[in-house]
Amino acid sequence: MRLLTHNMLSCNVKGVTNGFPLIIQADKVLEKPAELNHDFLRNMFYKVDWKALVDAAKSMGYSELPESAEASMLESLDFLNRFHHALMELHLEEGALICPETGRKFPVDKGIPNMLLHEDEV
Amino acid sequence: MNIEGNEYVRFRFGIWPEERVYPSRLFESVNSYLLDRVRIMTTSLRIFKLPCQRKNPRASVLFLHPAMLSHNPPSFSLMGDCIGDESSADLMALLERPAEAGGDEAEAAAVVERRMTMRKARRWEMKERRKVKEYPPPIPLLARTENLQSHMPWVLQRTYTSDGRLILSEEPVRHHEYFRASRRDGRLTLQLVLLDDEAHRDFQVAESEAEADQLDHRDDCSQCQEAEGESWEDKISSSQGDYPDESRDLMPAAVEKGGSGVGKFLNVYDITGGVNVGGELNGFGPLDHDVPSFTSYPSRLMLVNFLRVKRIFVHGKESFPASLIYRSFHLRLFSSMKKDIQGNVLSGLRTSESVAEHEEEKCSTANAQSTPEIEKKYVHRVYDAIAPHFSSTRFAKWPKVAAFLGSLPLGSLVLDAGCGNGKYLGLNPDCYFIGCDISAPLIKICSDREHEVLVADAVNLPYRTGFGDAAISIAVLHHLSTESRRKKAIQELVRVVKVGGLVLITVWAAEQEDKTLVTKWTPLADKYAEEWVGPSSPRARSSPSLTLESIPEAEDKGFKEKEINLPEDSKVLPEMSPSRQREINIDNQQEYFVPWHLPYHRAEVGGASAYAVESGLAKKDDKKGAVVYNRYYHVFCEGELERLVSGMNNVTVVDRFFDKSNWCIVIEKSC
Repeated sequence: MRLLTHNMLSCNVKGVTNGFPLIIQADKVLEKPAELNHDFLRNMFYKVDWKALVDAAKSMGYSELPESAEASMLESLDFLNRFHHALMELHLEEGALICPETGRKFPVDKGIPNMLLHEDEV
Repeated sequence: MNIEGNEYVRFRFGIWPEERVYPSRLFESVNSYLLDRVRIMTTSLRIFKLPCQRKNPRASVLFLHPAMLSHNPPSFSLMGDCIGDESSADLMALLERPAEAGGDEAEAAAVVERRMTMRKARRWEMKERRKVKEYPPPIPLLARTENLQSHMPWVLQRTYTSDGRLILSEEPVRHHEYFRASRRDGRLTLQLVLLDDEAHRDFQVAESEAEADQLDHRDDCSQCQEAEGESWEDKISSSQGDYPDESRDLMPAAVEKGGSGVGKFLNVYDITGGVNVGGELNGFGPLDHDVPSFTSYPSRLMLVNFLRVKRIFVHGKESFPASLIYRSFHLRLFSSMKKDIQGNVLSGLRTSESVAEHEEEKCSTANAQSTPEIEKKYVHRVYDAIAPHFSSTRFAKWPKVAAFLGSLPLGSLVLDAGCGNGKYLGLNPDCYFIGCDISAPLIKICSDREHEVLVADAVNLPYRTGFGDAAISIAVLHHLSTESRRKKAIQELVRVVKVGGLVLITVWAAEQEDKTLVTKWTPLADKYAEEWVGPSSPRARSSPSLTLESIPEAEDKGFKEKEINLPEDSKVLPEMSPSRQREINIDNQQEYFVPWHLPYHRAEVGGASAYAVESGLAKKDDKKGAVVYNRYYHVFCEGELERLVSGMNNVTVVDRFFDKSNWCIVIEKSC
């Protein structure tokens, strides 16, 4: 699971109002090189919750992202590289995603988050 | 505090049982108490609680004795997994050992204390013996272990040799779902009802119905019962008259707790004086009785408690609320298991608490979000079973979908809800795709192909609102069995895309271009549930919520296909009588079972198919050399997709078309 996905995921258990961002419990992190797509990064820059991304990257052991970011920084290749690395190249291979509100744990197994809910949670 | 040698350490738990504490919670607290504050000097220790004192039933005393396990007779380890009332006897024997070795003053005091408690324990034991007159009968134990698949129940046959040895033997049993209960001479007998109705293998599971037993328990445990019992006791008293004395009453032997995978099943069965051995499970006792039940995690932890189950008929619905009644318990910890314990206890707690709730859930009307049984059985499980074969046949990309994806702006984030084997993920290299599907095996295939995917339900997407640039749902909605669920799935697709984002939805059309195809399908009758589970099956009766009366009948009268012959394949439906088939109204038929032929050479790959055949989910077709699965489909009529989205005020229809027997629609999120 990439941090891009993490930035989109939100706990959808019934009654949860603030299920984002999910807390990452990183048991195993992989880095897989990916091709940098400028269009996509620019598009995503306006979508991602920056703080959630920074925190998530830190919990995955990557702390090279600036605490805050502005659109003007997209001109910097260095920034783009870091953004790209955090968003697309860090993979949570084993671990869990934990709802910040309820503590409900969603397992991540072999890079696949299981976000299915139990019957009493929908 | 250190626990060493033969010392007994006495714990008093002030809160228990004044407050409502579940055994597992108590155990948890004991456990944390031990781990946090006590340095355990020995590798193994044993905690047990002796029966409450008569005068002061609230005084609960816990004894720890680290040396006990080392004194174990060999048989004890065997019984650790599977133990009945014998445990009391063994426990007493163990208690006596340190007494013989007692020396110093502290030890002497402990001996006095022990003797006191032993005396009480003996009294208690005598009483137990009186109560359980002919115990132990040969009680087969329906069980499930960690290592066995959840669909492979087995019974543990207990026999006693003439010299008093206990012999345990495992015996696998066919899959079954129900017990048939009957009463003879005051004994409740439960027999496994096999799904295929072959000759029943009778298992006398339990004896019960001893009034003294009941009274005694009531007397002893009244304090403990109060908290938990009250809520439903009233109901019982009012409905007790309805309690069926006759045979032919079926009660669930296995109750599906929902979710998927091993450990999500709640096995329910009878356990008078008996034993449950297994993973995450709980037991139902004989009706109207408090019975000792042993919920055991193999070799790890044993809780002995009383489970009270009553059968209630309210408004014609039967339910089995169960409550744990705390009476005495044995905990057995192994130092190597310390880490495991907490999790196990918590899961056990959940299980036990949810028994009663589960029954209520079953009776409540299913909302749009909870998955109906038919989808679980005839969509999710089927795709899970056929995933590799299904995937190997799904490679042709549909041009219309490719064209839609190709038209998206560069750098778009595309969300595929119900992505199957992921054949559309990455179709446009300038976009980025995230897929999800409810079938974990299919998602595994996607992941192996390096796609970014997750397991999630398309009816309840775990995504933030407005994050995606576009979304697709290809051949997914026709697997949803109610209109509200189909609508909810569309709403979810719209929710997760940004304003101005496009959503492409395709579904199978009722107006198939190849008419002969339809003849291979099995139309479902109005009374779906009966055919699905078979009229003889009690499920239809006991779980009315599983019927799908909420499925709307086709409203579009434009499509009539009178030339449809009743398909030969309809034989695959169990217990579908010819008369029933005639009743099926094939006009406006939208609900179908569509067969999936899994060739034998593939079916042999895993055990899933064998189980599917055994449980009736699939049938063997030797002529075609394949295992035939049925997939549930709700095929769409012309205009049905538009009708579904017409009520949504933030949606505009951009395009709609019919292509290759599919209805397709492109909608835009407008605000």
